Amino acid sequence: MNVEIFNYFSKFIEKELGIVYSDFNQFQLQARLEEVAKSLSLPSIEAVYEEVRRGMLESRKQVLLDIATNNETSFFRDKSVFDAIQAILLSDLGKNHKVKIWSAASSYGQEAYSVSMILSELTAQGHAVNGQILATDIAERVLARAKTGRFTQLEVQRGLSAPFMLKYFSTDGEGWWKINATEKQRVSFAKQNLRQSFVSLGTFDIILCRNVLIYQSVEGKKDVVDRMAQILNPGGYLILGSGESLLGLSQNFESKKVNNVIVYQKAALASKLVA
Amino acid sequence: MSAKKRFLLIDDSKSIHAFVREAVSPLGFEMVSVFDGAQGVAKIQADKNFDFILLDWEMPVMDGPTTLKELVKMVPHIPISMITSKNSFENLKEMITIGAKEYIMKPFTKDIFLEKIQTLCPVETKVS
Ligand SMILES: C[S@@+](CC[C@H](N)C(=O)[O-])C[C@H]1O[C@@H](n2cnc3c(N)ncnc32)[C@H](O)[C@@H]1O
Repeated sequence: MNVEIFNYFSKFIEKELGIVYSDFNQFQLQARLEEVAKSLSLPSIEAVYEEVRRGMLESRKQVLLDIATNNETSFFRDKSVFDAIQAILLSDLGKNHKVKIWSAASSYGQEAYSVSMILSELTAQGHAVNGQILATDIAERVLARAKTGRFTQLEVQRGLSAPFMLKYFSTDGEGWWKINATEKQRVSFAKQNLRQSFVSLGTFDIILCRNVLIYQSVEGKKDVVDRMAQILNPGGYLILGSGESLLGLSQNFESKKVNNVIVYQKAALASKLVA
Repeated sequence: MSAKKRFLLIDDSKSIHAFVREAVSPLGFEMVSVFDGAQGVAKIQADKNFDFILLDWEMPVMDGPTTLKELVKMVPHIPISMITSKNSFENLKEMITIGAKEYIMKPFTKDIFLEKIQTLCPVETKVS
């Protein structure tokens, strides 16, 4: 792949997704573009380039964007974060109203369904907590599967103990593990690019924005978290991936330790400004 | 550091023994190998000093479910995981009902295997 082609595709992906491919990840981009060529039945990256320069069809564009994303995820990824979410659900936040949770880069849905399983666990333990989860992603390919609530054998084995598999899943004849109706019904899915406006989404008590901002430039990160602050309810939480931090990105949050996990609570002053 | 962790692998497949030995080697566990259920039961009769047990389903002489029933009676405190290609919900339910603590379905990856081992026998590990 020559420099011209690399620059073209990396600019395209940066513009559409905010994902920055530097020269450093040229091989990664090349591998992804080879996949694109294959799935479009084109012989080479050069052929993809020729084609898109003649005018990009919407369907082709989606293939490119889907493949440019890294969809790595698992159930209860970084278990301690989910312990913190459980503690938050049991705090005053969950009193007297349905807690609204947004899984902002949901990939195949494990993050959203993990929260749903926590809600079921808490209900079974007799807690009066109720919640509703919106799961969004830019990649249509992963969303389509997430919506079915089906997972492969490898996926259910990552992060789920056998008793949880037993409690919340069943198998169909084709080897898929399907999440049970109660846990599925709490989650709805929609396509949402984090680069675009959130106003149509409503407001939330908890936003999970994990392992997705890493791909954004600093400006991109600032923009996303500021707009997330605007749709968080007063006292609501923003939770990032472990290893990610809001340091230097936003003044709208107070960092707090819940069960030894750093989470970001929307600052009182900021909530007044928005209200 | 606590005493060295020790486990029993009951499986008729030599390649599983090789895989498990290799996968757990960084953890410094001691692995004891037997190749069918009857050997497993005999081993536990003689020596109950294990932190966990990994148990295959389909084996000659005495199969996994029968062995599991015996072991649960003999050593109810030792966590046991099945390691099997019987991958349906019904199979899982049957084994958990008898008393298995975990269930490892083949094929699995080394990461998944180590995660399951960690739930059976929590140890401080350095992630490389
Ligand atoms: C590594 S996964 C993280 C999944 C999950 N949050 C977790 O932590 O396990 C990142 C996801 O972000 C999505 N993504 C990347 N850029 C995005 C953007 N600009 N808008 C929305 N989703 C995006 C990808 O499609 C991918 O599914």
